[in-house]
Amino acid sequence: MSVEETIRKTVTENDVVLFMKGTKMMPQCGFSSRIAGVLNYMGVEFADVNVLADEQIRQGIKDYSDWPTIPQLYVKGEFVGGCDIVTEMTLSGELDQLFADQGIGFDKDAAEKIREANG
Amino acid sequence: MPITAREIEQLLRDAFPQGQVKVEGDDGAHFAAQVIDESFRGMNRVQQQRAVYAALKGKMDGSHGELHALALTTKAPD
Repeated sequence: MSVEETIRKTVTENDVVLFMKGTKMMPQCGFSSRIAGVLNYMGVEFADVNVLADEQIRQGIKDYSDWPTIPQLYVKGEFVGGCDIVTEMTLSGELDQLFADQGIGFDKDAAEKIREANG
Repeated sequence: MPITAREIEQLLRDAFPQGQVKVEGDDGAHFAAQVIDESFRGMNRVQQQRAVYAALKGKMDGSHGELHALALTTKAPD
């Protein structure tokens, strides 16, 4: 399977996927840590892919989305954005809306708490 | 060669001559940039930020990219 096929399979077989540096339990970059932290806090089930463990995936995911940085969040196979976009969407409530529209379970109260703390 | 906020700002000003560009950060690796440009109107955030990355001409690329961390804020003028 080519790298592109592997990535496509990963993002279609998992509703929410975060390509990140490190793992969701042990992120190794502040930007990756921020998105993983938001998803964990909101109780969203997601697959994490550690790009530091696979150089082909690390480059491949940038080619796949035409996006030069990591982390990258995918929901239902669609690229949502990197750290800044996901942060803005979290604070604006757009991320809640996206999860709700896509039938992804999340803790609305936790999302509200994030907004209260950063309002 | 580490990149400076001034160089990033110049690249962005070249790409968005009518836009408002602000770049902060002086440790040579971590920066925050804000670009407000009319061309962003009608684009979603992914499209806006792709345009900014394109202006930086590969400086974000790869594990040896000059620019490790750029926090980006993009929008069209109010």
